[in-house]
Amino acid sequence: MSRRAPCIVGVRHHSPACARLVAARVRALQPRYVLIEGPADFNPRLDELSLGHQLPVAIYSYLSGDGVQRGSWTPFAEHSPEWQALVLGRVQGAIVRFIDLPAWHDAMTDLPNRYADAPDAVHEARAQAYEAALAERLAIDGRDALWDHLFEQDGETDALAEHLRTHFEQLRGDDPGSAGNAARETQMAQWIAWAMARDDGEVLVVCGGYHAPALARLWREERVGEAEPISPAPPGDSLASRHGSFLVPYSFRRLDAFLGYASGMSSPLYYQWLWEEGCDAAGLRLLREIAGRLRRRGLAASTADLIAVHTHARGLAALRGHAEPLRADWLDAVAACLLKEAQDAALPWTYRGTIRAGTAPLLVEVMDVLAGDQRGRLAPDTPQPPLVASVEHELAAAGITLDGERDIDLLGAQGRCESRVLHRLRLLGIPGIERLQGPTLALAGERRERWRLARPVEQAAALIEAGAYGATLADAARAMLEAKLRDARSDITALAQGLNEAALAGLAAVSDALLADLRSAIAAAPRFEDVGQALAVLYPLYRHGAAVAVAGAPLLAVVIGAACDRALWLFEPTAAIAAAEVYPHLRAVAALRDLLRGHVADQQEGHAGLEIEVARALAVLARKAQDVTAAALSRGAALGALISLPQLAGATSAAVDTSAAMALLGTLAADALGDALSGLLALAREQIAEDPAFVRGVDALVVALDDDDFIHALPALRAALAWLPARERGQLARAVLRLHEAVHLPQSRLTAALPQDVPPQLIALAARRERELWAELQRWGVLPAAQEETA
Amino acid sequence: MAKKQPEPAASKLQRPPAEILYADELQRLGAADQDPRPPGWALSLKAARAFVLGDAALDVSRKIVAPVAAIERMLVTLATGRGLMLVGEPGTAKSLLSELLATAVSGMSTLTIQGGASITEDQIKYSWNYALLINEGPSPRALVPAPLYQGMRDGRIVRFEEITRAPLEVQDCLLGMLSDRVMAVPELASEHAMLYAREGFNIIATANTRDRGVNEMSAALKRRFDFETVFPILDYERELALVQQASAELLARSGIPRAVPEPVLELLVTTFRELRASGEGGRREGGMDRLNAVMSTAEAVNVAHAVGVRAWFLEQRGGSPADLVDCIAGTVVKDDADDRAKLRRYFEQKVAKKAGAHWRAYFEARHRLP
Repeated sequence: MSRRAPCIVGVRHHSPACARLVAARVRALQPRYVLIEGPADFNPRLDELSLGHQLPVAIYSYLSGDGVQRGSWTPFAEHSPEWQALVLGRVQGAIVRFIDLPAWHDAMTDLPNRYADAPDAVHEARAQAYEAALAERLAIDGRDALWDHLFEQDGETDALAEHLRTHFEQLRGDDPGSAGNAARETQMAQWIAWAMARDDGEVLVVCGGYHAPALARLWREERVGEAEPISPAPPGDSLASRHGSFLVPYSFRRLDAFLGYASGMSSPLYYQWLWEEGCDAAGLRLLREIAGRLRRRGLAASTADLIAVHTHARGLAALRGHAEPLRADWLDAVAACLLKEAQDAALPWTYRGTIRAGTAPLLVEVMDVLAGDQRGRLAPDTPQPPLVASVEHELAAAGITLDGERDIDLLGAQGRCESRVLHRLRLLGIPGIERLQGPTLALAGERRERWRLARPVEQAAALIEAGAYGATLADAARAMLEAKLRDARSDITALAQGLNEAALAGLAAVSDALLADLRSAIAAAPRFEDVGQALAVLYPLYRHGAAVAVAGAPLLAVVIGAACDRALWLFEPTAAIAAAEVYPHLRAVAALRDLLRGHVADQQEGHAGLEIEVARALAVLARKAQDVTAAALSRGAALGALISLPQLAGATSAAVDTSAAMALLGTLAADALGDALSGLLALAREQIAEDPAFVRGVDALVVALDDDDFIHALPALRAALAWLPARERGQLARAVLRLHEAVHLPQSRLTAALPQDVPPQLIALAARRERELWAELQRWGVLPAAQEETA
Repeated sequence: MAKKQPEPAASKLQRPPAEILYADELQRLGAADQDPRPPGWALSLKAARAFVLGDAALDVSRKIVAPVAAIERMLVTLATGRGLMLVGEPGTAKSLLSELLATAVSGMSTLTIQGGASITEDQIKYSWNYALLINEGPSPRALVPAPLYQGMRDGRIVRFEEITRAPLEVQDCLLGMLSDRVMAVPELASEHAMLYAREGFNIIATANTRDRGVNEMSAALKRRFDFETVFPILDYERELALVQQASAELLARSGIPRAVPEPVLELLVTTFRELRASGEGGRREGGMDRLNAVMSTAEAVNVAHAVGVRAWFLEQRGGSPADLVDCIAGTVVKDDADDRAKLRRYFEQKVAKKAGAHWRAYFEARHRLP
C-alpha cells in the first residue's frame, strides 16, 4: 500500500458550493478514478446517464418480492456535486464508479432518498444539536440559513474545502453510525482501497459529508484484490423477487424538502441559479421571478416594494456578514417588506417539512417560485422505466386487454384483481382507463363495474412519467396516492375520498411522515358532520374491508383514531343545527356510535388495533344528553347512542333506557320534541321503538299538547317517525290504536298516505279551525252543547 | 420578557426605562463598537442586535426571547428608513421589543405616543403654551413639542404604541412624516414653518391582532411600514423557564417567600400552549380549537403570579393545581361563555387522559371552573 491518500470530498447533496468544489478538484487533480456515492449495481450502465437527458433525473432502484417492497431514488440536478463528478470525470477520461450499496440492501430499508440529509435518526439528533449550538453562537436562525452562511457564498475553493472538512468532522465526531451506515461505509471503503491498490493515478471520492471522515480512516483497513469490489446480491430468492435500477425523470418539486419527500436542500431552483450565475445574479433573478409571479397572481409588488426588498436584503447581508445577500436574506427581506398583515404561521424557511397551514398566500407563492417547476426529461433512447413493463405484465396476468368496454364482477377473486389493477392505473392518471359505472364506496353493495379501456398515444408517455413514482404498479400507485392525500390536507372529506380510492385500488400502507401530516390535518377539521361522514366511510373499511384487503390497515387505524378524537371534541360544544344539517349530524353521531360498538366488540375478542377512548366518548355523550343548552336533536341523538350501546351501560353513571328517553322528552318544549325524538329514533330505534312504555309515553306527550303546540311540533314529529321502516311504523300504529282502544280500526287509518299530498300542518290547522268553529257555534247556542265534535 | 436586575440608580423607580436599567450595558457596547453606525444611530446594527439578544463576551444580558432573524429584519428596516410595525397577539412582548429597539438605536425609549380612541393630532405632533401664544403670538417658544416633533427634531426613534387604537384620521397624520420626513408647522413663519427630520428619526409602531386590526389602517399608511409578526414563544422549555423566572420575580416583589412549584407551572404552560393550539414547532396537534382569550406568555406569568398570591395570602402555602384552575378561569377566560365551554371541554377531554399525579389533581379540581 502506498503512502498516498485519496482525495475524499465530503459534500452536502444538491449543494452548488460543493458541486463547484468537486468540479475544481476534478479539473485540478486530473484523477484516474472518480468514485461517487451511488448505487454500485448501476455501474455497468453508467453510459445511460450521459445520453443527453434534461435534468433533474433520478436513478430509481427497486426491489419487490414476497412481503418486501423497497424503492429508493438517487436524484441528480445540474448543481449536484455527484452529477458534476460524473460528467467531468467522464470528460477527463477518468474511471467513474458508483461505490455505495445497491438500494436492495438492508442498509437502505428506511431510506427512500439516497441523497437525503440525515443518514439516520440518531445522527439527525446529534447534527441538530450541534448545528443549533453553532447557529446560536453565530446568531443565525435555522439550519438551512446556517449552511448557506457557512458555505454557499462565492469564495475560494481551498478555503471552502477546509471549512467543509472541519464542519463534517465536527458533525460526525466519534459517532460509529447505525449498522446500515457501517455496511455502506465498508462497501465504499472497499472501492477506495481497490482504486488505491491499482496505484495508477489520483483517486477522487465524492460522498456525503457524514461518511467522509469515516471513509478517510476506513479505506486503509480494507484488503482487496485486483477485481472490482462485488456488490452484495439481492436478498432472498432472486427469481421470486424483482429488482433493478432505472433512470426516471425527476422534478424540482420533488427535490424540494418542502413537499415532504426526504430530501436535502429546499428551493432547488434557487440553488440552480446559484450554480449557474453566482450569488449576485441569483439574487436578482430571484427578485425578478418573485415580482413576476406576484404580479401575475395579483398580489402587491410595486416597484417601490422591490426597491425596498432589494435595500433590505443588502442591509441584512451587511449585518450578517455576507458579501452578497443569500437565500435567507432575500426571503427575510421579502417577508419584512411585502407582508402587510399579522402572520398566523412561522415563516416557511425557518423550519423543515411541508408548508404549514395558515402561511400567507404570498409566501406560499414565493416558496413555489424558488422550488421551480422544472421537470426532467429522459433522452429518447433511454431504457424504459420498469413501470412500463410492470403494467404490461400486470395487465396480462389479470387477463385485461385494453380494447373496448369491460364488465367486471366484483364478488369474484378474479374480478377484484382486475378491478384493482384498473383502479391503480386510474389513480396514476393513465389516459385510456376510464370507469363508466361502479360503486362509489369500496364497500358499497354494488357488484358490477364497467370500464372503457383503450390505448391512446399519450398512454406510453404517461406511463414513463409515472415511472418516477415507482417500479411496480402498486408502488407507483401508492406514491401517487400519498401525493394526493398530502394535497387533501385539512379537507377531511377529500381525505376520506382518497382513502376510499386506496381501498378500491387495494393500497393500505403509506409512509409515517404522511401519517403524521394526516393526523395534524384531521386535528384541524372544522365540522363535526364532516368528520362523522368520514368515519362512516372509513370505519367500515377498517373493520369489514377484508374483501378489498384493507381491513385493520394501520393507515386507517391512525386516521380513524384521529377522526374519533376530533369528532368527540367537536360534538361537545353547544350549537344550533340547521335544517340541512340534520341528516348529516345524525349520521355522524351514528358513525361515532358504530365505531364505539365495533371497537368494544373487537376488544372483547382480544383485537385492539384502534386507539379509541371509550370512557371519554361515553362521558361526552352523557354530558351532551344532559346539556340543557344543546340542540334537542343532538341531545336525543346522544341519548339514543347511549341507549343503543347496552353493552356499555355499566360504564356510565346514569341509567340509560326508555325511562331516560321519556325523561328527556318530558323536559322539552313542544317545538323541540320532534327533534329530540328524531335523534332517539335515528340512533336507538331497535331498543325503544317497540317498548310499550315508550309508545305510551310519547303518546301521552302528544296528547297533552294543546292545538298550537301540536301544529308547531307536527313537522318534526313526522320527520322523526320517518326513521322507522314501514313495517315498524305499522306496528307502532297498532300499538297506538290499542292504546286508544280503537283496535276495530285498521292500522292503515294511521299509516296511509295523506290524500293528494296535502301538507299535514294544513290538515291540523283545518282541524283546529273546525274545532274553533264548533265551539263558537255552541257558544251562540246554534248547536246543542252535547254535539260531539268530529276530529 | 426581560431579565431585569434592579440596579442602584434605578432601584427607586417602579419600572425604570431600558436606557436607565441597562445603562452599563449600553455604555460597554458603545465603547466596544467598531462597526459603522447608520447615520443618527447610537450603536451599529451588530451592537444593537447584541443589546437585544445578549452578548456573553461583553456581559450583555439577553432581554427577550425572539428569533435572531426577526430582530435582524427589524433593525435593517429601521436602518433603511422604513417605519417598523410590530403586530401580534397581546402579551407577546411587542412593547418591550419596541422599547429595546428604540433604546438600542437612539439611546432612549421615552418618546412614546400611546394610541387610544381619544388621541388627537396635537398629542402626536405639537401643541401650544396658550399663555405665551396669546401674549406673543405663535413663536417657537410658545410651541410645546409632542413626541413626534421631538423625534424629528433630535433624530430619534418615536414609539407609537397600539397604533390601531387611534382613530384612522389621526393615524394618517403620520403619512407625510414617514414619506417626506418633514412636518409643516403652518403657524410659524420662515425657517420654523418646516421641521425637517434629522438622521436617526424613525417610527416603531405596535398593534395587536385582537383589537381593531391592521386591516383598518389605510393602505397608504400600511405601505410605509414594514410588518413584523411577533409570535408567542415556540419552544416549551424556554417558555417554562421564562414563566418560572418572571413569576418568581413578581412574587418576590409582592413579598411572597414561595415560588409556584414546578409541576404547577408545567400544568400552566402546557395548558396555555395546548389552548393556543400550537404543538411542537408550531404545528396544530391534538384536535383543539383556539380560545378567544389571550393565551400569551405574559398572561401565563400573570396567572402564575395570581396562583402564588392566592395560595400564600389565603393559606400560607405554595400554589396547587386547584389554585391554578381557579386562576385560569378568573384571569384568562373572564366572561366569555364560548371560552368557558372550551375550557371545560379541555379539562373533560384532554386533561382527563394525562398521566401524573399533578395532572390528576388538576383534573379533580375541574369543578372549580365557572
